[in-house]
Amino acid sequence: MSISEEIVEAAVTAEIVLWRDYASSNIRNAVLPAMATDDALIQSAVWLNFGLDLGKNLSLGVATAATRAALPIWVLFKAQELYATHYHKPQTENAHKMLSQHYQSFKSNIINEIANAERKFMSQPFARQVTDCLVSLHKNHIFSVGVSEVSEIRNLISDSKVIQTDDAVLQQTVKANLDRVAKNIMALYHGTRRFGRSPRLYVADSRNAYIPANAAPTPASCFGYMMEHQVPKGFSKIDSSDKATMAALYANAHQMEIKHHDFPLIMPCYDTTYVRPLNQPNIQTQLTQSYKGTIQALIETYHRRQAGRIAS
Amino acid sequence: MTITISALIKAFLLLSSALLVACNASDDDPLASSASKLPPPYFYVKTQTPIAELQVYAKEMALKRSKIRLAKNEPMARKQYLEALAHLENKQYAEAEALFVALAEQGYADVQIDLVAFYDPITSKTPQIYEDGEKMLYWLKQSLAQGFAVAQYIYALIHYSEGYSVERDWAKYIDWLIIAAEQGNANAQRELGFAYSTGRGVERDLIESYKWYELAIRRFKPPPKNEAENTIAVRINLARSSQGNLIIDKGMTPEQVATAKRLVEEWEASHPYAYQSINDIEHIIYRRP
Repeated sequence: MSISEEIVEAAVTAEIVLWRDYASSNIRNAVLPAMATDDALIQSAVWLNFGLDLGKNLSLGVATAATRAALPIWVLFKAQELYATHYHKPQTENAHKMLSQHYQSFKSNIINEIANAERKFMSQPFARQVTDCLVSLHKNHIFSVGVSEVSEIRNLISDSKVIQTDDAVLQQTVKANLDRVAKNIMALYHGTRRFGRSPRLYVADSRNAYIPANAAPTPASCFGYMMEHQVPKGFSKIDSSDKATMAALYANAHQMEIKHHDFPLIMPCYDTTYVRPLNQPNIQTQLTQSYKGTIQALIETYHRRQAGRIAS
Repeated sequence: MTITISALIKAFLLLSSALLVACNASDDDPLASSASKLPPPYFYVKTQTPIAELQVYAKEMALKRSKIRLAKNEPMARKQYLEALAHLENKQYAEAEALFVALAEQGYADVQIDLVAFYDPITSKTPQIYEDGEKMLYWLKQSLAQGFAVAQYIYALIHYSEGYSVERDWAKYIDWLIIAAEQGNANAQRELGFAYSTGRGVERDLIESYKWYELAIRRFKPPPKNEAENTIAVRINLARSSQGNLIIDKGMTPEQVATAKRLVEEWEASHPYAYQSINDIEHIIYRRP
């Protein structure tokens, strides 16, 4: 009997269930890094960005996204869809509403989305193709009892790391990415809310703008820097007291490069924060890369097995 | 720029704390500094039964092996069994089921496992009306009660996944894998190697993982001539590749490999009663059309 789709599907599902449980557990147990504020709005922003960045959080543990991201990329897609459906229009107003949610509530939403992953994954077109790939790779192989076949395919999936089910890796990645997102959020927070020093917030007009090299001037140049009062090329000065605008920035912090410069108070420079959108591939590109990587990982694993067989 | 005295003091304090944080940071890798503080993985459970007890139980089962009734060993039962297989190949499922059940009720452990495959609600090739998780579990337990190592292995596996008529239970998964592996069931040995390498249900242990993969590979011997040629080859590949990953991906050292190989020899010496080949148990398993 050649391996059937049911067997592959059962094996893939078993791994997804495991991924779901590990990922949910790690997010549930994750704690925010120490932050300079206990403002619920800011903490909510961290969780929100973490959720929107979930594809990276749960897939980039040990190697490239392309070989690890089949399922997490789907969750990323769901998180973005959630955002677009509920919060995008009008963006600034609703982003503030979103950030006002208690962060625990958003955390629960993320976990629920992950719980749905198992049910919905197999109906995704790229999941179908992963299954087809496994079936075709093993079409001439013969196993015995179905549940035993499932165990062997699970082993294959685990070795190829198509679905990241290493709990320790997931645990570390969740923590690392939560720290990274929190750092970005805090850079924004510090840059706009400190001590009434009228800090300057510059937001890039496009993805092509680059944060100026002299963003952190030396003490010697600081005086001249202050006197220039020039908005850096490609950036606009944003009024940080505008809550709606700030909420929109907080909501998108995960896809921004944010640099904040605090100057010692003896220097006459303004504290300055630069915000620039990162050049990230769109979701379609990521899905395509994910699918190709998934197939490649399976094929590589299969060839490794063949090589082992020849060597033996 | 507006500067107040209190702001000056706050800024100084913040600057000091920032400097302290910067000095304490070990390097740029956030994982490196946080790894030691992480709690153990939540799913790790110790086996409910001490391994020594499982080993004793496994040995008892192995020594009683000759008492297990197998249809392949009894001419009349074997004839009836082949008749049932013929019905199955002709898609006469009701007739096949009746014959299988009649044999299983007489206590033939191998036929009881055939019924496990027949009723499997997830991977069975029989029509959907025959898929029945409860019946599957019933016949599996009948075979398990006789101490059949194939049943022990399957009983372990159904506790790994959701979808069968049991709750997922890592402790049972590991306990029964150990019992089956200790009797020389190569499939259980490979799966136990997998469990030790991934830390599923048991504390991760690369040496133990290597040992069990090696024991499995030794038992995946070429099948009888009338068997399909790929059956064992695939399993050897799986085990060899996974064993190789322990060194390539997981950084197992030559010293650890040497220790594992020594443990393999010790295990072989202390388990003369273990199955020596997968063919001792595998070829009696029902193959679906």
